[in-house]
Amino acid sequence: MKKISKSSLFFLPAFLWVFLFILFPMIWSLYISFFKYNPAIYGPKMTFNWGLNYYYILTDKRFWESMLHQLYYTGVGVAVEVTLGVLVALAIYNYIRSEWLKMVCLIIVTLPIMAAPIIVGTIWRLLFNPGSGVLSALSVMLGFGAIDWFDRAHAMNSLIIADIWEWTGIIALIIYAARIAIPARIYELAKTDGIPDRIVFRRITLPLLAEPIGMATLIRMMDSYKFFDLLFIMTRGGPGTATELPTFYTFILAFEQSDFGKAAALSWILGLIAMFIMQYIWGYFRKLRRFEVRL
Amino acid sequence: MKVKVEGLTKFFGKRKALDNVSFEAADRAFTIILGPPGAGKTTTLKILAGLIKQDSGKIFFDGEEVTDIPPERRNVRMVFQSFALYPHMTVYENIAFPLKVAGMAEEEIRHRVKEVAEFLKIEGLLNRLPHNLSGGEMQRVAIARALARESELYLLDEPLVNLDYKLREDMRAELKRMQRELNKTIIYATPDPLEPLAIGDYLIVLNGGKVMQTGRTIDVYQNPENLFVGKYFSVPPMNLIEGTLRRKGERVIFESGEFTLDLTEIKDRMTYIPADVVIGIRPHEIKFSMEKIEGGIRVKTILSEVIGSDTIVHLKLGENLVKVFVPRIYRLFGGEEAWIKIDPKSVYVFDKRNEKSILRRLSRNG
Amino acid sequence: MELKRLIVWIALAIYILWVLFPIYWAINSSLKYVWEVNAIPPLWWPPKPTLKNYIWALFSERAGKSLLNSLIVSTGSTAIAVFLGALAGYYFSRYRMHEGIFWWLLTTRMFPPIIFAIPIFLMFKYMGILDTHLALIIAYVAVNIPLAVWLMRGYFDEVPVEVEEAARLDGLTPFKVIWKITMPIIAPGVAATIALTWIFAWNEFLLAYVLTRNVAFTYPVVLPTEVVSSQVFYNRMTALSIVALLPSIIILLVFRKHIVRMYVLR
Repeated sequence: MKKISKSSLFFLPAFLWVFLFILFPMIWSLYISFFKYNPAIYGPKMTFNWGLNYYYILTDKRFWESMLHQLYYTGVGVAVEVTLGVLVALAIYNYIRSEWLKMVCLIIVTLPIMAAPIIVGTIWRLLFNPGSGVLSALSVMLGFGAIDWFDRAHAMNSLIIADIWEWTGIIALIIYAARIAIPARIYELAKTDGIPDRIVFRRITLPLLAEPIGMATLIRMMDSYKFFDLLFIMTRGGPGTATELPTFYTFILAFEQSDFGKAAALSWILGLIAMFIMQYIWGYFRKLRRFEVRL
Repeated sequence: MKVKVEGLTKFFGKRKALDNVSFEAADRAFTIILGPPGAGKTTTLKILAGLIKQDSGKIFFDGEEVTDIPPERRNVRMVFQSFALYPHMTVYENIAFPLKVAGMAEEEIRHRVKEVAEFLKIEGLLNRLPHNLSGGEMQRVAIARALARESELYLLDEPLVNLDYKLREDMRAELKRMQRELNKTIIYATPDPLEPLAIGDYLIVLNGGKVMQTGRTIDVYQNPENLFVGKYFSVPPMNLIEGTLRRKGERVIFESGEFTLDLTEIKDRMTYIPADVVIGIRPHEIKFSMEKIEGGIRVKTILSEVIGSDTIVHLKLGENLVKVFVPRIYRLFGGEEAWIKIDPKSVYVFDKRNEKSILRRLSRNG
Repeated sequence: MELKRLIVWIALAIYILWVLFPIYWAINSSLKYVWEVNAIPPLWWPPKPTLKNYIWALFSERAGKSLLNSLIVSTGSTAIAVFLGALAGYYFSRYRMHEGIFWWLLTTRMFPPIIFAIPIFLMFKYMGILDTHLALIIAYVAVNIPLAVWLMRGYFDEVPVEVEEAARLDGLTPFKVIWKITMPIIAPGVAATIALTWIFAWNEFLLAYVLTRNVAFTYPVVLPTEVVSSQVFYNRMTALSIVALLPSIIILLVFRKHIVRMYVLR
């Protein structure tokens, strides 16, 4: 007993800190979600609500639209990022001879990851500036006519473009590292067996990269859920609510409408969905992992 | 320094790693703890060093209990199985480290490190980093670090296990020489029965956390108290044959299927006669010949393993597979007729029920 | 064959140019006067480049102060988070107990930050510490501890226990062992953990926006507020952005390998 408490000092501070300022607030948020709590309109009073907040959210058209936007954004964004990332990684690995040049390319490719998302949003907002932005000017010069990048038709895609710019690099980095980890011997063996390149790619490289690609996809999907900064500075969910994502709607509910009860409920719905999907996909991955490559 | 251990017990979770282990290590002797992997050798050494705390039991150094003294103050030097060299320090710094911690002066340290390095023939490696050393070199650096600071007790945990066969033989002799020159108490753990036979004065046999037998090495070899010690402490392993022991008038006969052996010669050493027994015969204590031996037993061969200039012949004795160690080369393919003779005086008899020897000790010298 | 190689090179070059273009445009804009930023036709380089935006970014009441606040908050929270994270990481590495807590710490990263941004806001409002450095530091430590613990544990796992045991027998007390032997061995890992944790704090927006207003605001908070006003000073914003990007770039260059490690070994 004495020994346990002495070494517990090691993890206790960290644990307590996270408990106090993450876990406990989350639980409190759950508690609030069952109350009508709107200080701007009703003052500091909290009235018990019997889960009405959840009902409001689940019957809210705006919520479901935001979920739709989320699906579109995650689906298209991640698909493009992963595809592009894999292609870039393999292109650098296979088609660049000089080690130094490889390093330079990798550094450039991963630069956007390190930038604050809010900065990325600022820069792309400038690029997309309707009317006089450089991209608008370019599209005119190239004959596409003046595009309003932030109107109903284009806003979502503009966001996705900025997101792709920012995050493709991480996929490329992960795949590149995974590609390096594949022992060269496999390829030597394939060569001596006289297997053509295309088949080597399809039957050897791709399956061996399947797990890292899967992980990278999963990571990006989970991260895309938290997407906020870009939204905030580029479109603010607009025009209207055309580019609103669930986490942004939560923010609006809490800090513009001051409806903390509903905001808490929505954030918990989102959190539970995240947990649920995570468990499911994690379990799926566990099963896949049975097949490990040992050489 | 005399080391005494009483009733050491240690649990790792639900697993009992040490079960009431007690033994003594004589002052300035080379005591070996012998046991298969998982027997508890490393655990015992680490408890002696104070790195692991036992759940119950006491440890005495020269009669004083040291159970509550932390490892950094126990003045024990240890060579780890994995060498555990400091990866970010050179060989010189590794060896010098315990001296630096002890507060020795720079000049003195330099002198001492040089001394120890010469003793272990690693003077040329002093500026290298551990990852640039071979297995044998790392092991010698580990020993050097242990020897650098003087102590009364040296613990070595399977130091030769990571070395190749030839190097192992060389190092074995080196270790014996070292022990004689050092003249300190050494406790040495190994799974290899060859090592106690080659260099140990005293032996503690450990299996599954329990002490199987202790004593002078030769004593234990000649008087295995139980089946495990008999089989394990034998190179090659002892032949074990199950059967029955019966009195037939004045005689005592061992039977196993068609094979019978008259053990009347050692009847006087038997403390009692159990019905079901297991007899043990060491492979090189069986006389073997392709020609008829007077008073011998006819057997059929199965195959032979030639090792160097010796052969291990596998043959069938009744229903049992028996191996014989012969100091010459035989190439056999099985089915040949051969003859063996077993001297009852070299037979060990164990009660099948409790696996203990039923023979009285032989107090032979030499 | 050669054609294929050429195509891939061109495609890769296009991609790389696409990555570099926004950065170039940001630098370009940051050296312009406000009316030159969105001129038609676009100005590919300012006719008379000026550094006054950078002066604003570094020394003004608003932007300069925000960078200072960011520095204070990032450095302060990183120091605490890595220290506590190292302690916890060491514990989970050496004592295989309470593994549940370790995984539980990791799952906190799964949730969208908004889920605790709201209650933390209410909590700090009640405690009266809104808009202070303290508030942000507390929040950032809480958010970053799981990452620090996870990284440090991985690095501690790489040091064999027997090396620490050898150090004990050489005469060091447990704390001295960690300080004089274990940490120096994993020094690059510790540096990487510090760098990565710092970057996450440096780049954070949501909590900063929610928890600060006029006193402790960090640079991410300044950027959107320059947008809302009717005059959009893109030249200033890009200057501030470039300045804020510098630490990120430096850390990327120095710690490339460790970044991969972090993402690959989930």
